[in-house]
Amino acid sequence: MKKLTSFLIVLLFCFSLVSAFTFENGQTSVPVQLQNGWNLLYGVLDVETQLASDIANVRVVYAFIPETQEYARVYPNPEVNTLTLIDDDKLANMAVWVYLENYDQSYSNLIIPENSYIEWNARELSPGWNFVGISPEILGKETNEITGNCDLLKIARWDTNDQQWRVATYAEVSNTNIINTQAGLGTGILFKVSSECVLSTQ
Amino acid sequence: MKTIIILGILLLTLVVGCVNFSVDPEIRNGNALVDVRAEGDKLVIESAVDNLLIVQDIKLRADDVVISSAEVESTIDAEGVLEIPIQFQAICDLPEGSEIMIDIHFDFDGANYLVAFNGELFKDAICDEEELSPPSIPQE
Repeated sequence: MKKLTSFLIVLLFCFSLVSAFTFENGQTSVPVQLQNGWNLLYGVLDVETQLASDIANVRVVYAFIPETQEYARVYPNPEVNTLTLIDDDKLANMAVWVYLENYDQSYSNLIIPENSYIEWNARELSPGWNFVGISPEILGKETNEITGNCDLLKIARWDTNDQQWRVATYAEVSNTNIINTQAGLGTGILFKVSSECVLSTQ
Repeated sequence: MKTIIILGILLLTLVVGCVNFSVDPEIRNGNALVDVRAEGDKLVIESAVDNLLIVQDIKLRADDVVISSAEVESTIDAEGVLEIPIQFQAICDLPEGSEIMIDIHFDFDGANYLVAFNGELFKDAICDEEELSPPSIPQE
């Protein structure tokens, strides 16, 4: 019985390690592969803090407002009137566009603050396209295991190398993983859903 | 006697006329007539003499090379302001702080003026970087 309890504790510990970002001192640092051009990154709303070492290379950041299905500039000169249409924390857990120029590194550390973090299981989506930040909860899971009560119509990934979309229907990818390795963490993916819903993992 | 009086009146009229229509010596200095500044993608010319002043053309120079020019032939409006769209992007390749000359050729009171303003290039004021739009969301 003791052995079983110990095993369950270890299992629970291991699960907790991969179930969400691990925060220290109110934040976590996630290595993300970046390239010149458009990159989809997890909730970059405070560029100076979250991409501090690359601020000189960041030309512009845009967020997608799912409620209105339109873009709003986050950096520089944030379009405050449009950005306030969406809850700050919700925005912080979406993927945003970051345009880099003269970037000569292969990856950077993206800072994600703990106080605005929303776990995968509580992410709300709006009808239409949603830019979703990729967090560890979905690592190694099949698409059909991470969609909660959402009626997922399509999925789109941004190919940073080719700077173009890769779009698939839910049926085409329902049994494949969104991410298999840590390399996808801190980036983003697009989900198109038919109605309001909440994501969750099985 | 009559002739002297008539000549005297005529002389007085001419003198008064000259005084009335003469221009303040300060105004004869073209630089005192207009002021100029760059705002976004336009040049704003201001003048206290409003609709008496007709701007003919404008040249933008750097190192004595004309980079951009515009033929205008517009009258300063009642507010004393004339806004002229001008292609500043041509000078945006120059280093920050470069000396820029702006020549303004205008007519005032039948006379022709060419004034030159010089200033430093501050790119933030006029060199809007090309607006970058994010990729469109995937099409159906």
